[in-house]
Amino acid sequence: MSEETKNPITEKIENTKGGHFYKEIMKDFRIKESLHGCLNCGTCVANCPAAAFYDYSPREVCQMMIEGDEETIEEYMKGKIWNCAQCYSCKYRCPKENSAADIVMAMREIAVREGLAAEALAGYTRIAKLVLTRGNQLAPDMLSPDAFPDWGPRMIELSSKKMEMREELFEGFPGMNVVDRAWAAEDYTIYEMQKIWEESGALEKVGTVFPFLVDIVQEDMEDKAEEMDAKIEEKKAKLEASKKK
Amino acid sequence: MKTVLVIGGGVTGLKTASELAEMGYNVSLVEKEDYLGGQVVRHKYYKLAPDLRLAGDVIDPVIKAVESNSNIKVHKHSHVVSVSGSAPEFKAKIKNSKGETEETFGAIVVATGFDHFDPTVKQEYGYGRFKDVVTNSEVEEMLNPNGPTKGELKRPSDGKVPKKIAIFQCVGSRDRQVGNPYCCRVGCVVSTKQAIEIKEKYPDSEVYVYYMDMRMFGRGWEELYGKAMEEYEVIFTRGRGAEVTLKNQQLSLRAEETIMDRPIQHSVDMIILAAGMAAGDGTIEAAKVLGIKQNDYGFLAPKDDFLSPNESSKSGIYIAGADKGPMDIENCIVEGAAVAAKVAGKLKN
Ligand SMILES: Cc1cc2nc3c(=O)[nH]c(=O)nc-3n(C[C@H](O)[C@H](O)[C@H](O)COP(=O)(O)OP(=O)(O)OC[C@H]3O[C@@H](n4cnc5c(N)ncnc54)[C@H](O)[C@@H]3O)c2cc1C
Ligand code: SF4
Ligand code: SF4
Ligand code: SF4
Repeated sequence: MSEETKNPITEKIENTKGGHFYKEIMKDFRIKESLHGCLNCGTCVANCPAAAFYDYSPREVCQMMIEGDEETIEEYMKGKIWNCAQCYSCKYRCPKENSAADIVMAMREIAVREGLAAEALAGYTRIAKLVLTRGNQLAPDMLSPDAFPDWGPRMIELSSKKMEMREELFEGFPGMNVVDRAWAAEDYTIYEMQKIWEESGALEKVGTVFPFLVDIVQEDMEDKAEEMDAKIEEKKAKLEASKKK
Repeated sequence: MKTVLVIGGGVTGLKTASELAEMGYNVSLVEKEDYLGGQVVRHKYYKLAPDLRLAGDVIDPVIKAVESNSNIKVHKHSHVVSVSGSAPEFKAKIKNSKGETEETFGAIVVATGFDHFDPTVKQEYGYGRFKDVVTNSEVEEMLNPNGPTKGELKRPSDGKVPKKIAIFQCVGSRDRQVGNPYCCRVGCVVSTKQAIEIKEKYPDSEVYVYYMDMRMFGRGWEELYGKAMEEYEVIFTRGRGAEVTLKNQQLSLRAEETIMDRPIQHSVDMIILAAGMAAGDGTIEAAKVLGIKQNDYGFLAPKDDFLSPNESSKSGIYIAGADKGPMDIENCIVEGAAVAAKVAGKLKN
């Protein structure tokens, strides 16, 4: 579809229905290509892994955005949309070529920006902390059957043996024989990553959902700053020297 | 007296030819296959919706009216390969395995019909991969006592009669993913008819229809729908068939029960795809040879849908039947008669 495609549903919003959140979502560039009316056919729900296990429905997401009821939308932004796995099955099967996946992504970004996401994301605190302090988001010891109702028996069995398996797999690779993180990144790498977050404004965004994590990261950075900045200088000098050669 | 060229020997073309011949016109009927009757004969339709009368009772007299009329010259296994001139004098080359002839015509009627949508492209339904996923036209052939299974509904995989049968509506229709947003206009009534035929023959079977809307706008269609529910206990579930997989040698389908708001999985023995109508290769070929306009989906476009529904974009060339878009047999017969009257009126002047 070309960028110029007209979409009567999204064009109507400016001067007609909806409250603040509805308008913010409809303004997102993705919506124009993601909502073309809905047949209520259920194809998206039938293929949706999230709908199979949670109280969540991509059909409802599309219907809700067509109806434009502000209260329902706000409720969704606070809760249900966070169940979506972003697998895009809905988009590739929908006979109207809608994409609940893209609508949900836009809603999530706006929910974070508008401060609606804190409660829904509380359960992800450990993941966020791990990313911000260690550089990887999932640790094997976070993967347990009670957090994943969609696991089958094989996954449950494998999960109970993860330490032995990792020891066997990663013999001779220090940094990999761990279950409290996926692998151990070097301090220097983590510091660099944290710097990028800070300077790009991503850390500030994280603060709207997990304010205390910002403090943790900043403390972490302060502790390492002297040592790491020296390392950075050292690397820069090396780089300069290699250029001269 | 001018001669009329009719392209296509389905129910529409046959009706057109016999009406014109009865009015005294000479007609050349060109059919690409070696039989007359179009899709009705090709897929051995057994009983017709909504009255469940034998298809033969309808199509046989229409064929006979053509074959017994000396004003009609039937060219089977033939194609119109080129046309020159303009109204009211066209020169057309008709080609078959024996050679090519050129004839002069006062008018041309295109009645080249449709093709069944090929569901192979809807990969998620597994047609072509799972033997027991079949199309509605294959079921028509099976239900006919003169068909390949002698009237028995049989699973292609093991020849057994299925006990649980699911029918998916709107396959290849109302679907932007395949480029066909239009409604096939016969799928609902045909599936309802097939469900009744199956229940009549196998009262112990269970038949489930997965649909978005049951579009029962024709004469007697809504009544047939009621009959399917009340007398035959056909189960209609509001949700589009979404996916088919094979689990432990059994077909398993996914859909959403949209009234109860819940995703479901359902194990069945056979799945029938209500494949819709697409513009046929023959129609596309005719449009090219004649240089007439098609719509976005390949069907032939009338000069004006309201005011001149049977005139093509070119003067002297007329269109009728399912080559204009999905249409049932009753309406095809009306179209055949209407286009004949239009042509006769035009040639008289
Ligand atoms: C599964 C199924 C079941 C159905 N059951 C019913 C029912 O119960 N009741 C009902 O009312 N309707 C039913 N229909 C609809 C019915 O099939 C159509 O209304 C009817 O066949 C259309 O007739 P037609 O002559 O316009 O086209 P067709 O039947 O398609 O005939 C067109 C003819 O033209 C020939 N042709 C095409 N191109 C060329 C060419 N370039 N040169 C020469 N010849 C050409 C073809 O070979 C064919 O013989 C059903 C449809 C489907 C899909
Ligand atoms: S992208 Fe989200 S809504 Fe769409 S099918 Fe996947 S989990 Fe469901
Ligand atoms: S698949 Fe598309 S049309 Fe069907 S219910 Fe979902 S969003 Fe609506
Ligand atoms: S007639 Fe019925 S099966 Fe065919 S496209 Fe329309 S709603 Fe679907």
